[in-house]
Amino acid sequence: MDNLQDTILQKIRDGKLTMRPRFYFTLKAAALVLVALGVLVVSIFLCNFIFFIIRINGHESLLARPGGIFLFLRFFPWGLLVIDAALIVLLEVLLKSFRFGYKSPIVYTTIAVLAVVIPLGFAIDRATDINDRVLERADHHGLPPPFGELYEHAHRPLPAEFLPENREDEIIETR
Amino acid sequence: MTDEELALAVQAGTPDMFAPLVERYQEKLLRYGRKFLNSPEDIEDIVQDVFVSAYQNMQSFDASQKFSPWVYRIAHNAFVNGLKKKSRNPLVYVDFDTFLSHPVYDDPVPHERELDELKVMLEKSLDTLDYKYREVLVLYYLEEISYKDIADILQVPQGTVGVRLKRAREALGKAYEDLNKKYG
Repeated sequence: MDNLQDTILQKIRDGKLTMRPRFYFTLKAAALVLVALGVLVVSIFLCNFIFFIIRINGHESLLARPGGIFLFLRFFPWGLLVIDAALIVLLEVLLKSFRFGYKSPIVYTTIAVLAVVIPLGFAIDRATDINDRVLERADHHGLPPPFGELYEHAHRPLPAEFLPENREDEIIETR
Repeated sequence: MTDEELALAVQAGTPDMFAPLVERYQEKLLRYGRKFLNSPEDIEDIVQDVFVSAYQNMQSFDASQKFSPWVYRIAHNAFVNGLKKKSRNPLVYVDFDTFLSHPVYDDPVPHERELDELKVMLEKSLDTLDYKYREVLVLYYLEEISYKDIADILQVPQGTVGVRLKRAREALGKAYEDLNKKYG
């Protein structure tokens, strides 16, 4: 180990050991930020889409019925929620690469992420007509994957036996 | 010159300034490595890799921060990888101490006698401790690194370092007691 210093310096002098340029790290950091932002955007979109499915299929009305909470949970798009949760976990892992991320307890960063994802997802669905326009477009012109698949399967009407009395005629056919 | 000034000089294109950094840290990193691995050859190879990696990534070092936690972070990753290769048990664990906030205390200053006792206990019982306790004890008591810097090395919240250290001291005390019972 006496010659560790010499070995390393010799490698540097021979050009076998070189420093990576600063822009390499700048690009790496920028890529990390972009990936994290991308994951955040997809996560907000999925959350918005969950609210959209609930709205367009009238699942919220189930909550007003006695025992409706069980039906609401039964028809909830759990698959999308699981994917969204996985994205939030991925986002947490990415955030831990940043100084502010690892310095904060996981519960705090998760609450911060949820405080962005859920209200934004809700606001996009309820305060804008983006989803309705995209659905209309998907119905009439088709959309490239994965949006086409998602929106074409957005209609999940309740089976007739779960509809409240006199509600069958209220189902609106959008296709 | 301080470590940070040397690092700045290396970044600016004076590679010879890397030599004093190697000189200052090689013994510390070898000692650090000996707490995790047994083979001197493995430790030396890993320490050499740490310096190679430190030089390659020198431009990512933020000279407004301290150099010591930065190089220890590289060493931490290298030794964890070395341990993973040697161990049959994966070192991936969920650390629930990083989930919630813990109060951040100032570094307690142990009395000299207490410190000597702890160092003796550490030397004798370290091998019996979990990796996550072993590392925090080594960094704090043997390498004498502050809570804040340990938090940067392990990339955990500062409060977690305090909690982990407290649990590590308790585990060490128990391990030392067990060892004394066993061998008198």
